[in-house]
Amino acid sequence: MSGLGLLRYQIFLVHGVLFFSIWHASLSNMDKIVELSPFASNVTTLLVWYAPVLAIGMLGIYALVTILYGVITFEDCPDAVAEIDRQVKEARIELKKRGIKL
Amino acid sequence: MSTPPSLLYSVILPTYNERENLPLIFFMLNETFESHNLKYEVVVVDDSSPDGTLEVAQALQKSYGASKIQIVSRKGKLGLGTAYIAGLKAAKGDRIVLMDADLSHHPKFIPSMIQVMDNNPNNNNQKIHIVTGTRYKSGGGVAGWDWYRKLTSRTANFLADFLLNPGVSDLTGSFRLYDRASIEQILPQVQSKGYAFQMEIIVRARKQNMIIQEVPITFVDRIYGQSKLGPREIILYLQGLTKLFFTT
Repeated sequence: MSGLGLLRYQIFLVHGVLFFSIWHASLSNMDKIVELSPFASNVTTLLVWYAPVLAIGMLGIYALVTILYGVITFEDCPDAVAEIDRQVKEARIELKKRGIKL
Repeated sequence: MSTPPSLLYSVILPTYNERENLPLIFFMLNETFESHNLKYEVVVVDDSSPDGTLEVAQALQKSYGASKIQIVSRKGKLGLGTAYIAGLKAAKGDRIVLMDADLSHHPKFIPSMIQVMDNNPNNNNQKIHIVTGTRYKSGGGVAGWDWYRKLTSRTANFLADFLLNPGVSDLTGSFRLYDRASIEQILPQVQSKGYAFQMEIIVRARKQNMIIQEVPITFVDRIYGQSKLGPREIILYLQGLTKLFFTT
């Protein structure tokens, strides 16, 4: 996205405008869509009308799943603490030799 | 390691009240660079720490030599961004390491970062400008975080990732290796403070078409017990993130 030089909020605005244009067009052409849709007409109508809500809902689910997965797979490194403690001991010995007061 | 042997590495360490940690981190840095046969210097930028950090830095300088450690002493607590800029001015290195001075970052990851920077996997030998440490990828991780802390970290990162799309897995990480020209170009542009500061560097670098690679690192949180993550930090973070969303 760096090619166009748009700021992040502008990119979001563009996507938003695009989405709402398509949504508005869909609402204006509901008959055609119901005709083409594999779902029943009342289901189709609902889906189109609530498309923005559904989109946000799906985004929310995606966020939840991603975050929870990230928390579950977040690696713990207890060895790292032991390693640092060990090296701190080494350091203290060497620094004492060099006359550095700790 | 395919590093040209003449490259000098500058590790810039902003310090405020790190009197205890500074000698320890310096020792570990010295060990790491020496054992890998790499030329280095540490640039300490001290903001008039009341606990005697400056004195211990001077003692280290006396013992290890002025070529290994430079000291930039500032008159007051002036913030991280300007500390890095001051350190960068004094630094002589071709490559710059920015990291925490409180032992949460282990210098042992620096050679891995260097290796990534040298072995550019791109076929057209593209230069790698930044190698950033990530806690989120396999091989990385944290020590000392409970579920809540992990949750806030992942949520904050998801939010930043969604809004800013930076192309790195760990946006708020502060352990990075920079090509000197790259950091010199980016740093003066950065205006954020706190966590957003680290994010802004990456976001701007990406926008300017710099290549950023990642290396898994471990983050040892030794001060979590004293809880740094209250509502104030969260609000500041969101403010910083919002500002970046509207200005980058």
